[in-house]
Amino acid sequence: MDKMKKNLFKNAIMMAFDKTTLIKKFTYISRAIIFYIPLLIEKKSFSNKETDDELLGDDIYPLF
Amino acid sequence: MRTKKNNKQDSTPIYGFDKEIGFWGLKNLRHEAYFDYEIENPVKIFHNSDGMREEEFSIDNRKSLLCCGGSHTWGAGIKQNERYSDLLKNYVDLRVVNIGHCSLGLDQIILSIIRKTEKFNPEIIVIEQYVWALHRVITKHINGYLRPSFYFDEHENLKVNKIPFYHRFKWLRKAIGNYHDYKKELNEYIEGINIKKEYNLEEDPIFLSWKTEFYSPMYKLIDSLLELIKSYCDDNQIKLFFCLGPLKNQLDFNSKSDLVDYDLPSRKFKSLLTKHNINFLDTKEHMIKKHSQRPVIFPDGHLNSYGHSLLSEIIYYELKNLKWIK
Repeated sequence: MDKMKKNLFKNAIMMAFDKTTLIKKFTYISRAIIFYIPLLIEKKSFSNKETDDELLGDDIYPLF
Repeated sequence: MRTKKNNKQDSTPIYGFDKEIGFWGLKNLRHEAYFDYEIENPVKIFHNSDGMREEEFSIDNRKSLLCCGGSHTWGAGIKQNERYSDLLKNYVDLRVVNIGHCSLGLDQIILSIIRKTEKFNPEIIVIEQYVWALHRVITKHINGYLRPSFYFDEHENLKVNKIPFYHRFKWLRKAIGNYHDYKKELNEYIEGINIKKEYNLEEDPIFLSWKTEFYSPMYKLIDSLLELIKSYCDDNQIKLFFCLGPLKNQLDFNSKSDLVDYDLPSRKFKSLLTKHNINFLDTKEHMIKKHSQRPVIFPDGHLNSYGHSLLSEIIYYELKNLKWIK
């Protein structure tokens, strides 16, 4: 497991165990299992982005 | 907001799915709404055929003054004719159109201006912004609806995700919304923010100076959104004006520490408005003075009818000073 996977897994589990009741802990562990893969995909695609500091290019209008 | 039916309280929606904005006012709505803080004074709500809390407009060539914003502009807790936009109708020659809607973020306000208002032939656009609500631009899911999301592509250009057709299905929205809520909560947890467990408006993370880093993507997005609306208005010869409403925190609370700064989001927002050369007015000082004599807001922070009358005067005199109106 690479570092990103480990961190995500660790934080998701820590958040679940930080919940006050057993039911909430269980619910959040279930959510962590269900959402782990989509979260990982999103995190990976985000980290692959180039991070130039420029704000906007000239082609903002293709939006509309 | 709460509504009452057969003496039983329930929450009846006032908006529904919209393929461009995420959600928008229900068309031709006729409703009597009971707000928590005005439970004895129900407010009649009428939406026109465009889903706006406005009279029915005939389409003609008349120039308009558009009032845009969230629930303050929509008029939460007050009658339609008490809103600042309706009071402005008494002073201004232009046709005044209120397109405010509850829970709209700045991104949705800008999208609604670009996509829904051309037919009103706007000459002046007034955007009322409650700066606490700026965080909505980084929130994907709100009140059961998914918002359009602006983002930067790999070349750092601003883009917006089209709202997929399947978002019209409530159960699908709920499932996708659950994912976004979880992702938001996890990101906040990683940054040491726990809104669900111990939320306190007096210490909302948006006011905490040591959490500024968490909100920097939000301000970056707002920066680009302001550039977008400014260039849209310039291209269409529309005069753009921002009006910053007073925050409940600024009016009712005293900060316990210099590190909890209730002016932080408005200061940052004003610096961005200045950067883009956008006319604006912060009503805080004026409202604080008046609030000490007579409340200008309801307990939940929405402007009451007195607050709206003050706001209409402030906007009127400011537009007059700018020589945008006679």
